[in-house]
Amino acid sequence: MTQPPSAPPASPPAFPAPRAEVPAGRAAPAPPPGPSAEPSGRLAAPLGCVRRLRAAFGTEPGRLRLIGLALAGLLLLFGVTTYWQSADRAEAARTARETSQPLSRNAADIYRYLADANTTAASGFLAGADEPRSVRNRYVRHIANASELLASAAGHGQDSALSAVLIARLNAELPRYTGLVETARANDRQRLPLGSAYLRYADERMQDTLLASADELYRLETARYRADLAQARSWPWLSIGLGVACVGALGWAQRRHYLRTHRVLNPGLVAATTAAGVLLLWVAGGHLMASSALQEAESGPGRALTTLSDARTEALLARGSENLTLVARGGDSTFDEEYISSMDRLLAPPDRARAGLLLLALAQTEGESRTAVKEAIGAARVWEHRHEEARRFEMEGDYDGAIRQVIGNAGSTGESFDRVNNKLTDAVDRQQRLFLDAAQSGLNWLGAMPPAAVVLVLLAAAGTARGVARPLAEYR
Amino acid sequence: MRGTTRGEAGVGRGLAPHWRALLLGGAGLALTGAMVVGTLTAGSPREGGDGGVPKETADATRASLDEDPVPLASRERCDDSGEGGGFDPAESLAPSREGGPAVDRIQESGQLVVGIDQNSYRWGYRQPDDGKIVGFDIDLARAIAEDLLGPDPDIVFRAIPTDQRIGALRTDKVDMVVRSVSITCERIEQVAFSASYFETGQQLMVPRNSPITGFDESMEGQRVCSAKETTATQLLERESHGAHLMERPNHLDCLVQIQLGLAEALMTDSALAAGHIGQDPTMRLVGEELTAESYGVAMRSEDEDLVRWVNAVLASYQAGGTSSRWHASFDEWLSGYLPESAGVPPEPLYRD
Repeated sequence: MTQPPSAPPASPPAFPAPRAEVPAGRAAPAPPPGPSAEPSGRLAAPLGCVRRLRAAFGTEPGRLRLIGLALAGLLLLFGVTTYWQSADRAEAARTARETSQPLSRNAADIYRYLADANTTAASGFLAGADEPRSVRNRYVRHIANASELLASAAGHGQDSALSAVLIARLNAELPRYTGLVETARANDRQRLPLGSAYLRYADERMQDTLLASADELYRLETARYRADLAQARSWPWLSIGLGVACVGALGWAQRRHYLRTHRVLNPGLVAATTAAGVLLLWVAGGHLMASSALQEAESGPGRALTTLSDARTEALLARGSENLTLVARGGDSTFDEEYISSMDRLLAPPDRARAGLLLLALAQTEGESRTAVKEAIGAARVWEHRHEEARRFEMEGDYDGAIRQVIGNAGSTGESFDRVNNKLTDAVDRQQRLFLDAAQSGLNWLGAMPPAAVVLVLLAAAGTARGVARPLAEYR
Repeated sequence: MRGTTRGEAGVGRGLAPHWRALLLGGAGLALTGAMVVGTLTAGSPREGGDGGVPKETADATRASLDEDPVPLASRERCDDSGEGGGFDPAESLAPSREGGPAVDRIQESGQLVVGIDQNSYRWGYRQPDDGKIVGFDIDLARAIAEDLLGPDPDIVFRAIPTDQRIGALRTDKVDMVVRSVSITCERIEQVAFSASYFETGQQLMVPRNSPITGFDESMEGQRVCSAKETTATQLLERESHGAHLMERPNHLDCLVQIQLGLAEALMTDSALAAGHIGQDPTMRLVGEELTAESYGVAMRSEDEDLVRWVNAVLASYQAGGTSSRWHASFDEWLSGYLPESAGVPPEPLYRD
């Protein structure tokens, strides 16, 4: 109890003592007879306590004490709740920034490295013994990157059983996949068509197991990141409700004071109201800011980021299918169908039921990202055109010409794909930064809140104590 | 992926008793076959090379074809309404180099577009070092092209997926398909075939140390792989002998599964099995052939002049016994992977 039972030595006895049951206090400074509810022997006996409590309600000083007590209690509750709720949200914001966002990004990278390795393996396979060193290095690097990220994800992902299962599956499947790719290469060098069957099986494992698990992991981690963000910006209803109650109660106390004394201001209570009001505004305003900043981040750069990431993945899948069409050596037309549907998902005109991802991304971005997307669209159109050339070579029985057109240097579809991929990676990186900045900016408001809650509530409580003690002293 | 998409009409109706008799009849042969393979396995290090059907078994199979009214390896007959009715789908048009609109068209364009497989080892595949497409099917296609267009002809080899072999012809993408296509009653409704240029049949193939001895109880509990929508798959679905069936897009994918230890046996025709043995010498054929099928060159039904021309080419290609071009091609691509008994060109059947 912060309320002083005996008032501090009231230096200026400027206040007239409010008279009990007399609303308009007369200017009689006659001290009332010694208040019955004295602190001495408070806990003498339960019966005495009840009697005294009843007596306390009966007299003005007793009521004042109770009011002060209640106000202080309410304020403390407000402070503790605000501290707890805002610390909780600040913690969620911190987790979002420092843990779940990087984990979600890692998962996206794992997916991309795996898809890229698969595509590169097919390119290298097509080149056969003439596989350029750069292609081989790219494959090896992507596999290494993926397993590195998997190792670090395994270290972080302990808190979720599902993600641990997914990571374990990825860790088990990756060496199987690389084994299949090497078997494919070895058979191919022995001039055996079996090599191509092995590579198709490796691709099947990649699609059905590795990429499926990586995708699930990405969704899981992203959902967790979103959940952390949502928690960070969730409205602290309890704290705000208590804040409103505090300000209301303080207002009521002042009105009561005014009605009894006809004095407009009780400085202590005014100070307490101000402090509580500031805290209330801070809580409400801070969350409003954080909330709208996140909202903006998600609807602006966040949405574009999702579209761009999807577009980049789709481009990788299209490239993989294009390569595997040739790996299958005309033995399987499903790969070309997959290529066509991937390109359609990238470039479908907006009048279709679902506009192409690249066109969507163009509408969702601005500035340099938009320029990058525009260039990616141009490169993708060139790619489509070159791909048709390659198909024509293949149809004419010029398999080597088709291979040159797909994995050659200048003028190949591989060159176009690299351009699309680079431009999209550039745009993704830009949007990623924009998104993070926007998402985190609102959260700064939440970080300073817990200490502010403590300070402001203590101020308010002190003000209340003072505001109640003053008139109480006048009864002495 | 290859083989017929429908079962044999001859086995199709009243199947169960036939089938049982057939199997009983074959059991003894299978046993001797297994024993012969066993001795080969034990005795000879080059077993992988000729690990195909043991000579005796194959000969016996052929013999039973000629004598037995219920052949072990039954041939499909079309319009088989009654006993011994119908006709053999491998019957083609009589050979002639008279020519006609189709031959004129090809000779005027100076180019022959042939649908082929680039993934069928020893039959039609790409040599990685020089990128040339070679194989038994390819030799035949070249012979036809040379005959039509003269020496050093302009041939376009267009790789086509198994499921588009018929469609590629009907949409004029190719002039002919030389791609180990079995002649079946269903297919002759859609396209025309040359006379048979190779005889084969469905057979089980296993790794060297497999306990599976043939199409019998030894398959129980084993995983047996076949290509989707083929005669092999239909055979297995009809009688699995307790095996777990596994379907893959292509028979070569089945070999991958066996090498990875995910399947114990595969069913395909013995001719394509040569390609498997060529790529994995530890594989061998077991049991007897379960069907009798003929490979033919597929062409558009209306190109009758072309069919007759190709039959004329085939007749000279196969003539001359062991010195025939057919035999030279067999020696280059298939002998060592198939029993020598398979190195005999089939007798052409003509329906007019």
